[in-house]
Amino acid sequence: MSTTTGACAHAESRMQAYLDKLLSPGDALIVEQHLAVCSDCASAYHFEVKLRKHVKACCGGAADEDHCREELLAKLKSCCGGAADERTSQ
Amino acid sequence: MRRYLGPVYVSLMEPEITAPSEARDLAVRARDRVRFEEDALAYADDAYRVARRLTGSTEAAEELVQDAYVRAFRSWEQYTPGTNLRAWLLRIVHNLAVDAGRKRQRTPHMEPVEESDYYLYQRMGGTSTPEEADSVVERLSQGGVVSALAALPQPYRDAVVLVDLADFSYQDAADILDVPIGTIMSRLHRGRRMLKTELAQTIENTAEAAAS
Repeated sequence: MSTTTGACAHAESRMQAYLDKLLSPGDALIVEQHLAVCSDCASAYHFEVKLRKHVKACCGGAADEDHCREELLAKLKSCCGGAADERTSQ
Repeated sequence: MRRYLGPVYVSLMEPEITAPSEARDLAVRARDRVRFEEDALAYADDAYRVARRLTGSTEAAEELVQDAYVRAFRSWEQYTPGTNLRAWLLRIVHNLAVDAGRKRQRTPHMEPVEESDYYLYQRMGGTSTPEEADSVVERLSQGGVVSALAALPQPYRDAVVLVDLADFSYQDAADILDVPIGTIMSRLHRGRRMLKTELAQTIENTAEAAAS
């Protein structure tokens, strides 16, 4: 940051909590007000937002999470017997 | 004659007295097990979501979930009714994944260096617009991101995976990993910084490979 100030350092120290929505309304407002006037910190904020999305997308998206419970149940039937067996035979 | 048959009389009568009670116990147990399995299966998607992030492939995730449910169904009586079944189940998923990871990874693990929150942003040259931030982040390849995450020590990786990738709350992650919520917060804080340091290293390695 070319013009790093105490406010920049404060915003940086609160950035992760701000992204996690864990700050109190008052603290969140202080960060937002700083981001509105500091282009360097606003850029860093956009970078952090984008980075989180990118890491998530790279490490397994949501596309294959529509998992088939019936398929799992069928597999468990052959492994466990028990109630899973009884239920699927009904 | 009657005196001689006494024990037989008793032994025949006892089952008549106890059988309904035993049958009732069996019926209650079977009902409890069915209820347990139904409740546990309701969390199959959550289990898969965690497994998918801990393993890195759909096949390994499905196998992990299946193994976890097999273990859960076999040890269902160890679960205490009224406690957090979701956390109990996901803890099994996590423990199995850790066990599998230990088998695969036999080399000692170095603790990654931890830099500041903006470290990666600064290493990548900073940006001046949101669009520029997008293009800079897109330079991080999928393979590089996956490798960087895999390089984190297990406790920090677990926290990042559960909260940042699988969208569990801090409290859920604490329940799954069976640690205090403060531990999750500190591991997440350090894990994110370590991940950025690893990503910066990945970029450097890529640049060096391209230059040589």
